[in-house]
Amino acid sequence: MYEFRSRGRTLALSLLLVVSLLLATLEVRADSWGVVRVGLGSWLVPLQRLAVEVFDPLVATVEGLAGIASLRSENAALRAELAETLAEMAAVEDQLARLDSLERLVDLDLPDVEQTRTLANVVGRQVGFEFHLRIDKGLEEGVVAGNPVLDENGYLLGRVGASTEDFATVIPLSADVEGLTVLVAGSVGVLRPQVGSVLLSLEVFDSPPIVAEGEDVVTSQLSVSFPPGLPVGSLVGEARVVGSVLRGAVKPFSDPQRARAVLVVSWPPGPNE
Amino acid sequence: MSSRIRLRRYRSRRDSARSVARTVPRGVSFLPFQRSVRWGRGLAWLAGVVGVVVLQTSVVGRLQIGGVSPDLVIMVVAYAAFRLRDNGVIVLGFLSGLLLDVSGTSVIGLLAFAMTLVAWGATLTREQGGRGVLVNALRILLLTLAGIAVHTVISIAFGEWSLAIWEGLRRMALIPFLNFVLAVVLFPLSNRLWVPSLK
Repeated sequence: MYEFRSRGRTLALSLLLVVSLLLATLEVRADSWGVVRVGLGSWLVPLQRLAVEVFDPLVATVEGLAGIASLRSENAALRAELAETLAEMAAVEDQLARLDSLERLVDLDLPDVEQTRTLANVVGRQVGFEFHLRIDKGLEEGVVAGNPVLDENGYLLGRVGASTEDFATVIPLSADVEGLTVLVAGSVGVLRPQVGSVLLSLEVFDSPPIVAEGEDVVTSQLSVSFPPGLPVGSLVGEARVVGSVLRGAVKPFSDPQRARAVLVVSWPPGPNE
Repeated sequence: MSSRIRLRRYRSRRDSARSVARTVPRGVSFLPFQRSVRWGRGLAWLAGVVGVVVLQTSVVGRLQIGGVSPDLVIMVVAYAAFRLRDNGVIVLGFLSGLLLDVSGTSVIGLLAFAMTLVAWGATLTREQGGRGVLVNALRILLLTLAGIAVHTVISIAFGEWSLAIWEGLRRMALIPFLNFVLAVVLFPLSNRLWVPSLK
């Protein structure tokens, strides 16, 4: 079936193949067929333009239909990209907030505190039986157990619980087992944490003062562990006098859950400071 | 439908077409031993090929599936073999390839060479075009594959091959498949063109 059925076909086939090869060889070797190409191809251009004009709406419709088919996958990819971008934005915002906290800590003006200050980032939180923060500075930066810790506004946050070479833990006021000697309305009292509450209980033994709600509470000069005059919190609710003791509740100014950066103050001062 | 009934219908159509072909008036002969040339029909097919080349180089290129487009020119040359004699089909294939050459930027003559061979293959497989939709589509697929393969080889020989090997293989696989699908879709039309035994 596939044998040649006529000499004419063989002749035509051979002739045209040879002409094709000749044309190709001449173009490659002689490199002078540009005129021929322009001449032969130029009359196709108007026809091509006409075809585009006529069939363009049809092609656009087909392309639109094909585009709808791929729209879902493209939407899914865009949503994933958007989620990734939002996550990056949240990370950047967190870094900016941390930077803002650090800048405020650097510019902090503390009353009567001329001791060494160490800026530290909060790098972890332990929430559970013993709530504490973990900061990225330790003994190498001079952070030792017992150092007072302030938040970005200069409010007393707590004290350093334990310190290793390169990190330390901070015990907030509301989780500390030790009491804090404070001054409220000119009288010295003691603040103690209450189990299961963010409020601190205040007890003033010596000549109970007349206090009102919102009265500020600061650290006392009698305190050994903290510099005097550091703002601690404010009185909430009405204080009650029981016998010769004034009892009330104090809400700390600082919020350890939101702290990103803290300031560690070396206290008590060394013999050369 | 069983294969026996299909074969019987095929032979019936072939005999009917042969009887019709004998009654068709001959065209003009210029030489004593030359068979008549039907210029009108040939020019009509040439005009069709020009139109398809224009479409292929302007519109079809935008309708891409998997990064490739169907090759309508090869399909038209394959269908032309149903109505034109061998020499006519071969000349049509050569001219269609030449038109594609001059409308592109590759070396003139490479597509003409490949399309001439495709046209020759189309004349050899003319009878298979009427044997059902799948056989015809398979014929188109093989002709397309042969055309692309020949063009690839001749392009490499003339230093015109610029595609990566995997890109070339992908085109060699996808374009014949697209033409196969198109041949299945167009079979009701192409089947009307098929006239057996134009000798």
